[in-house]
Amino acid sequence: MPNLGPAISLSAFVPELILSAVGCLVLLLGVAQRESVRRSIPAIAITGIIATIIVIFWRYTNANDVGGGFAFEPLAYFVRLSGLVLGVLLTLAAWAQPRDAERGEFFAMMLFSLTGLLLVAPAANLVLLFVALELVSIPTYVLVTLSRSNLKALEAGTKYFYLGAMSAALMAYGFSFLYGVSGTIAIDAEMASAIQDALAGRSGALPQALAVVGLLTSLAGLLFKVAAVPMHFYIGDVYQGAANAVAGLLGFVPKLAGMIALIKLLALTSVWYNHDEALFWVLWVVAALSMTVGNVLALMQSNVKRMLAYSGIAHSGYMMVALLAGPAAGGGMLGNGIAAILYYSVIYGIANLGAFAILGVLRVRGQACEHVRDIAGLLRREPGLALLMALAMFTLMGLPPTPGFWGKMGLFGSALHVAQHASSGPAGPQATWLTVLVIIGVVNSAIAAAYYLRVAAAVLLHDSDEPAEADQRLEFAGMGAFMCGFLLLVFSFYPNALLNSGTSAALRFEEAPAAITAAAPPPAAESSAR
Amino acid sequence: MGTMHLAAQFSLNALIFLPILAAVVIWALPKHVERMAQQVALWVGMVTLALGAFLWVLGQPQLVGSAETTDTPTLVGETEFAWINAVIHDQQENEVGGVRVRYHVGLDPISSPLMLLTALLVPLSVACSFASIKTRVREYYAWMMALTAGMFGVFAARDLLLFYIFFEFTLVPLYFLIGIWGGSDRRYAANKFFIYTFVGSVITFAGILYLAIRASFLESAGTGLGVIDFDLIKLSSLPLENGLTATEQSLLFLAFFAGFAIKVPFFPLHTWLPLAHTEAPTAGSVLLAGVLLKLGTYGFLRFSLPMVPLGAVQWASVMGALAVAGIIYGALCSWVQRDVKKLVAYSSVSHLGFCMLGMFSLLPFGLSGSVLYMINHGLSTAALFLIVGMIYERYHTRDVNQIGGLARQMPVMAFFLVFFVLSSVGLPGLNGFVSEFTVLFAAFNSTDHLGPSFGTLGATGILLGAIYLLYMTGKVLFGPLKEPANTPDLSAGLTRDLTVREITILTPLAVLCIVLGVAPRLVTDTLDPVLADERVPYSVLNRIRQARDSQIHLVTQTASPTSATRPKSEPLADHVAGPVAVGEVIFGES
Repeated sequence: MPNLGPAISLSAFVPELILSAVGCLVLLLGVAQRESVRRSIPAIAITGIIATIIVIFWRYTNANDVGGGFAFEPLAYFVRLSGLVLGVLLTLAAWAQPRDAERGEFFAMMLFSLTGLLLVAPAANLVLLFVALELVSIPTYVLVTLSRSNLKALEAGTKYFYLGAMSAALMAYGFSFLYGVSGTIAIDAEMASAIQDALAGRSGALPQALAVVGLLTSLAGLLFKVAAVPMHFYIGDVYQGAANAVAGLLGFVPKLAGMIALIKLLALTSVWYNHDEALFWVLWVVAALSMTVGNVLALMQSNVKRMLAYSGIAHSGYMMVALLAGPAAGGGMLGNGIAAILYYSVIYGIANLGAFAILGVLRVRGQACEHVRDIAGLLRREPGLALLMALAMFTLMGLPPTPGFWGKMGLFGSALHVAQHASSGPAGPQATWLTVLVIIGVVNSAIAAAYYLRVAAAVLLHDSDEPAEADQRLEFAGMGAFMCGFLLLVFSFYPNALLNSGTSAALRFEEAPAAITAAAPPPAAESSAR
Repeated sequence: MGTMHLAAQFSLNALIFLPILAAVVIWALPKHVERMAQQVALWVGMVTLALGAFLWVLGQPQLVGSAETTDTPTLVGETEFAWINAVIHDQQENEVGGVRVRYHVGLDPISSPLMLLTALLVPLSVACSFASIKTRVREYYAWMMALTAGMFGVFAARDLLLFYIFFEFTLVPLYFLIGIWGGSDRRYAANKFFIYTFVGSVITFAGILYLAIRASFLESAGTGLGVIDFDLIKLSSLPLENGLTATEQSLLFLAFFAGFAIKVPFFPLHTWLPLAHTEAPTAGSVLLAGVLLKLGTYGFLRFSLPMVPLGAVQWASVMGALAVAGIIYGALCSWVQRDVKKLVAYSSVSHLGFCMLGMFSLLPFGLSGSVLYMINHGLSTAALFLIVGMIYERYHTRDVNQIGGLARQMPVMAFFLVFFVLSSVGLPGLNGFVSEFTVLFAAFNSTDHLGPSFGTLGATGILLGAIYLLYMTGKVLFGPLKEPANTPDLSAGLTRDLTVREITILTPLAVLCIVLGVAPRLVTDTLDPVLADERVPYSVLNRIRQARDSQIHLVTQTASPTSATRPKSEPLADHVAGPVAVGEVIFGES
């Protein structure tokens, strides 16, 4: 097994290198003398992202470079492409958001965060995974603070930074335990079998305890990134304080990064194969609570930004249903939970960003819209934006045939599929309790319908003496919102391409680890001898 | 066959896509030609009516003359291609997993009369909106057209997931129709309607997913290496022994029940309906009562019964009890309403109770009577809503205490109102009677599930129906003339009595009421064989019989494991020996 073995050619990183180089360029141009240069920064950022997409299409569609602690596989391809497409939308949405003096920093941070996301997927050892995750998060602390000039943004940024630092510390602490248990930092079969042995108590009591502590603390750190219960407390204030485009970014970049890291972490255990019951229950409770708490909190909000923030917790909960199901059942999006998560996080990211982008464009009496009553009667004034808002809400709600429906179908379907599988295998909690989790999820999507409908109703049905109107200076943000809507429509009626690339990205996880396949016929044999 | 089949395919797909196209066109019309929206919508409605009639005729073997010779019945206008195709192949190109959702549409004798009903009600409901809709005209007709597409899609779908998508899609346009153009309490009504139905249908969705995944496991002998698809025929012919267990079927039935029963609406889940009906614009009420409520009953018949027959058999008595409760409760509620529209809305609760009572008798003529009931209720209740709307446009009230003696003012309206009230209460010779009689007859005869007590209690619904409808008619039409001040309001180009346009709207419904009253066999002759076809293993009654057999099998196994002989289910053999036509039940063997 190559540990840090063969060097990997630098050419494997060309997309990431372009992106970070453009980030540095943008950072420098931010202090340029001439205003016209400073004004062109968003255009440069978006050109950089589009250039990266072109480079990926040109050279890296079938990249399979492994080495140096990275593994560029279909998963990396999926994340690269979806991350960059969302990056284009994010740049459009944030076009006129930062003040002149901070434009360079703002877009540089955005590009760095995207670079981090692109590196999370290929990271194949614990150190690089940690570094990539922090490369995602640290720029977002800056983004939240920079995005608006009021005290709330400062408060949000501070809160986000301290809690984020704590979660990073927890994660690093947990990763070090995992290293201690397995004796390797490479996330590979060797580490997996060591951790599985330790968790099953085959290596003695101390490694077992260390592995449990290591897993739980790193899990806690990652739950912060995806904003799942019990690490969700920051989300309402942070989303409310941040500018709309940044809140849209927070719903996608850290969430997808965190989900991928969670997938990598769980792939080290055997929770997907009806073992490690304790871990199963921890995740089960986290998923059930995330869905329920998120939806109940969102139901109580009348501020749209806070509502979307809390509903983000619920969406993490839905994804955790499929995370718990895992890839074991195989067979595409209604069986491989990982494929479903990848699909869903992209769709959620687009719909969430679309909703925030529309909020960002709207003004009531010159003020930004936040409250449900601010956007009442939008259909009369801005029919296009109103319909887009409705489309975003229906997607988040999961109404067929919006792509949110296909996503929910994948998440819940894979859980049911795994439950079916488990019912014919060895006894474990999966067979019954995954089905129960799906029922909790379905009931929660019904609860969610109530508050999403409140927004849709305000926009489309209600009248207002002073309806919100689009700020004409924010034409690019409006364009971003329309592109989100366009993508949602495309994925409604033609979800095949995204589904299939999600499926092939998740294919790697379908092979059961050696310890499971070896241990399956004779139960609990000492088959994992080195 | 060739060209006809192509024409049928074209027509059926046009029924679904033409209204969508029309919706886009109408929405995009420039402001100064706003009035054209009405014309476009009406013409599209007429075209769908023509296409619908054409498709219906094609489904009538005695008219077309092509007797069925093959064992698998053909569907009119069948079109099929894979829509969502995320299938995994192994090295030998075998399909080992993934999911496939088909765009698969086609009409059979269960769906084609309901399709024709929809095709008839759409142009009528467009025409009835001409005078009443004056704000946001383009949007209104665009949503109407979108709703039309959804309704046709539901009846044509042959893939469970495609059905579900159309089923859910109908929510959105109706939500807007009620929420924007409804009465004073419209937003509350629209939200209640949406959330109520959405809650039910997400539970149904979980059931659909479970069923499809379970089916792929059964098909691949437990390995799970099968494609998950939602094909209607495949899901309706799952083995009942060593297949879905009785508990599973029972739970799945409840999951389906959640979505369909809210739509019907079944007795304790009906509370959204009166509100939605009262607040909806007339056209919304017409389509809601005429077509959308049938999505629930159609769902039960098309999906619940053949897919989880054991569940249906287990729950049939409970369903019957709820249906009877709905009949009586709805009737009593109607009796005390002062708002005519609310009265008709509650009468729908009562009438759909009859429909479900017939269905859960699980007898051949009960099922076909139930389908007939769907159509008859669609005709007469839609007509009643239309008339109520016409009165409201003139008097701006629907309160029976404020209007009265209108027969002298509006003799033509009075004629139609009396006519449709009589059809609704089941006057022999008109359509309501045949279906009402059949479902009650079935309830009496269904000794396994329902029985005479259900029939007797259900029959009181007829009595109560006569009381509340005739009482309302008497107050509105006869007695001293009562009109609110400053009415009738004839500003919208109306006349004191019905205009030619309004008479044109009501006449086809009246004609059909007579036609179906005299010749119910137009529907049932093609319907009965399909419901009970011996050659088709997935026909509803075959599935019910299989379920009963397997249930008896289970009982005997647990009671006396040694006895190898399996008792023949004698009474059942009688019931399903041959299709019993509704006409034969009523008019005897001719």
